[in-house]
Amino acid sequence: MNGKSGVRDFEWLLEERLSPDDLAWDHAMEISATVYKRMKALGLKNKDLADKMGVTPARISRILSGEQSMTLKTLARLESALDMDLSAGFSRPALASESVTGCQIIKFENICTSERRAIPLVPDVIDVKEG
Amino acid sequence: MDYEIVSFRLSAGSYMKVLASAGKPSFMDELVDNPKSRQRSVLIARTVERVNKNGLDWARSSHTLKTITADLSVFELRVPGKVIRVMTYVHEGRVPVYLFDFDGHQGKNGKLPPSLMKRAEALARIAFECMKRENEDER
Repeated sequence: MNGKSGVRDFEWLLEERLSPDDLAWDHAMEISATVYKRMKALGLKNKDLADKMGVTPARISRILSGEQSMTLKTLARLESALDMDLSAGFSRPALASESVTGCQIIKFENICTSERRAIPLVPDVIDVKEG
Repeated sequence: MDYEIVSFRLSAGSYMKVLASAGKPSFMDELVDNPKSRQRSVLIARTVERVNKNGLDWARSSHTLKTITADLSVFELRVPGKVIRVMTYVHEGRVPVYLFDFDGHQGKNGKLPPSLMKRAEALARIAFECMKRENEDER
């Protein structure tokens, strides 16, 4: 449904898996957006940030455009110059342990696919938790 | 031919407005509904979501949105790392309306083919009228 009668839901499109190459671009653009917002908040122009980092303004433009060849050192310089923590890092999958009669089951949630599966810790009874 | 603006919901409060021929599937509908172009639609949707989330100023600074014709407010949305482009009209400097997708780097000397420019300008004018009508209807 579109137009005045309704809106088509494309939310599921954003949950589709990306290739590693596309994921890399995704990360680069997220960094770009984070850096941009922080620069705005601090009132920094490209040249100001470049001076703080000891790089050229052209380099800042490349970062804002989604530079992919960024080293950890450059990330660290950004953090320092912008006084922020860019280390989103890798999200550890959410783990929830749950005791069920006879065995301990760990539910594993895959952040990328929102897939859930129960993984028995060991096949045999190891622990019965009370309370 | 009549046109309309159709909206696609990307996330809570985030929408993608697309110009379509009245009663016909939009270019996004066609991309999504074809398994061969589904991934293209995913990348476009993600780029649009990022523009919605971070704003037009960021989009211009990051070259995600590149000015094509300033006086007609026509821009090119660039999917990062790909040749995928979406011709975009920005209404009143605030609201992007996506016109059609195409592949970049196809014209001579890196310029957009004149036929593409002509199509973009014509559709931008139509999008302007549609948005004006939509805003008047909302009042």
